[in-house]
Amino acid sequence: MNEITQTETIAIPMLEQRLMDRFATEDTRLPLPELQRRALSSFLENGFPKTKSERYKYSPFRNFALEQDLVVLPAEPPDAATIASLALPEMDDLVVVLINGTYAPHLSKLDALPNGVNIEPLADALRSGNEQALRHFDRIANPSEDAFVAINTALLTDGLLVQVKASKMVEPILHIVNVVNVVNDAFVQPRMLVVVDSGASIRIVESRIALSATAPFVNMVSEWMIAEHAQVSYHLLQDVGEDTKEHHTLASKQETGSVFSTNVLTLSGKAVRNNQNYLPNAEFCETNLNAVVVAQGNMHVDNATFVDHACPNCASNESYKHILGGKSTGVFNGKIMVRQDAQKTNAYQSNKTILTSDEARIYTKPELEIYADDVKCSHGAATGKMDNEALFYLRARGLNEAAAKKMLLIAFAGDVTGKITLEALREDWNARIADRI
Amino acid sequence: MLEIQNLHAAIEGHEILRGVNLNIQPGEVHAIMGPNGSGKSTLASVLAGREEYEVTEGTVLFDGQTLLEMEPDERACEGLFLAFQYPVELPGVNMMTFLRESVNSVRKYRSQEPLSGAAFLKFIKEKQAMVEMKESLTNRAVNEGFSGGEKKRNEIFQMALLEPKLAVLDETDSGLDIDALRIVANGVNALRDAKRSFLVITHYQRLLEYIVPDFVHVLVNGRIVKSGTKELALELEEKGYDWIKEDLALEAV
Repeated sequence: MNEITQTETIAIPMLEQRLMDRFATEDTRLPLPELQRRALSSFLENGFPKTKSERYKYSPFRNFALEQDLVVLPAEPPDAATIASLALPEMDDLVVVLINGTYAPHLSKLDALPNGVNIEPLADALRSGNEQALRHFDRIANPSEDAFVAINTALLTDGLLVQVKASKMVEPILHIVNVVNVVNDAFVQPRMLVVVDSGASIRIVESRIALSATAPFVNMVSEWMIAEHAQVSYHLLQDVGEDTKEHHTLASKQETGSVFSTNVLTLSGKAVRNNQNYLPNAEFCETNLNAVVVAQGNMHVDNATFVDHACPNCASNESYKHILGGKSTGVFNGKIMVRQDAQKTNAYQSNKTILTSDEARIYTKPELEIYADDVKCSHGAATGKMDNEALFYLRARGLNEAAAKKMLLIAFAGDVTGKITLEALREDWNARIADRI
Repeated sequence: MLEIQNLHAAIEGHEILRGVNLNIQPGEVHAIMGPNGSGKSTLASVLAGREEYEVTEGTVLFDGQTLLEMEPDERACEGLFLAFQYPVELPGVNMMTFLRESVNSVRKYRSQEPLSGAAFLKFIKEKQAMVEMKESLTNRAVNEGFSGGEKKRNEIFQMALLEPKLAVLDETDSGLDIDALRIVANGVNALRDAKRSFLVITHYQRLLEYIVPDFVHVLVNGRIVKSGTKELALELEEKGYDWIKEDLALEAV
């Protein structure tokens, strides 16, 4: 008990001081000094969510952050062969590589970039007065309400902007290889802003990987502006290795009739927190959010989702699946808000967990707040062990124990992976899941 | 093929099998009949290797090997097949994936090359016809939403694919109407040959009209108390099980 109090009283001012020092010395800032200063003040004022805070009840992310080095010391950049090893089948025409959040042109492949798609460093876009970037950057995620977003904004030196022009259907899949590569226990702040204009569509796959042998903390923020009738699908693979901590804030805003689908596969990380906030901000939006978590060892994975239905006639579908082994911990907090005006909302949420060991645990909390009276909302949460009858049935048909378990767990994840329409990606993910169980 | 000697088995401390002796030669069809709770399904479960049952005494030789030391999947690969009384639904597991994995697991164990996609499809089609299995069923999740008859047919279908040395049919007739029963029985009969043996467990004689056994055994209270030929089944049908129990009571005195 004493130890914890000490950390609270000593280390926090230390981080604050370090943040201020860092902020004062940094010379490669974004051309938005006022906005960054505000973010810093906001953090200094509000601090991290307290351990008692409901939102971080099971996940002491503030403690993790306190230990990190604010100076990012990059390692020797990865060579082309290393990047090539991260390539995904049938998704290697359009590759953007980020190293510690900074666009690496020499490792990226943008020859096949179609007209109407703009991919550029965020700092360049802001400096050159890119109107959409200036309008949406830091407006979808909210630094005044979230310490991790505030730190990201305050310390940001660069990030990635992806822009798709109106009506543009982007044929090739955009693969973003988001690599952390440092020689210290750095606090890395990658940032991404995706603006998809009306009627456009794009499919984005991201591989988030750490190549470092150190214990960095990735504090990622991605903002998504999806204009009317645009269609965006985003598939994120989180595989940062067993020593890396990861905090991801995804914030999206959708306009009329747009569709935004996200699929997240979490495979490693010492501790992973996903804050995913979706705002269908006009009528007839469709929001799909799915995830599979496969955890082993002492992994800790915390998914906090929030779908904020503010307008009528929208639909959201959420399915989160956990396969937890070893001494791993899963946390799921799925909030769905249906505001008074959001009549005819159709919201579905499901969280299912299989515990493959006696020491793994899951804390799950569906949280539905409904203020409209003509809506269809449902949720379900289930936690259990592997079905022994099913296992025996498969073994009685010649499958050994490992193969039988694998088959059942792949089927369990199938509710999510089955929704991935890109066949090559679905197979890739199934193979990765099978690898980890 | 199968030699069971003095087999005792218990579940949660309750002894169910109390010394079963049974000898099945290659190509023979044996039927085990008996009243509810006599241990019929326990015998099937113990043979297939269900973990909940504890074997407290006795030996089982399967094709010369000690069966009870093998894992359930080894038993399957060695050629023992259990047609489940209650086939398990496997949501999300596609039939084709399941069947292919199953067939290729067994082939691998027997040092055979795995069947290629095309060869496997051909193989499936052949066997499907045998049990009059609707093609649409092979595109679904295993047993999910199948009718009772479809589930049982699926068991026989899998048996045909795995080509076992010994098939144990655990109350395969239960819950089947006459048409389904005939289809299942035809499937079994088509697989009968000089090498393959069957152990047919049933409560009713009617299945044995279609699958005619070489021997019939009566299991009461965890022991085989009477053995005979197919006529014994008819006698049981006519008189019920009570007369055997009475005979036993007399012997005990």
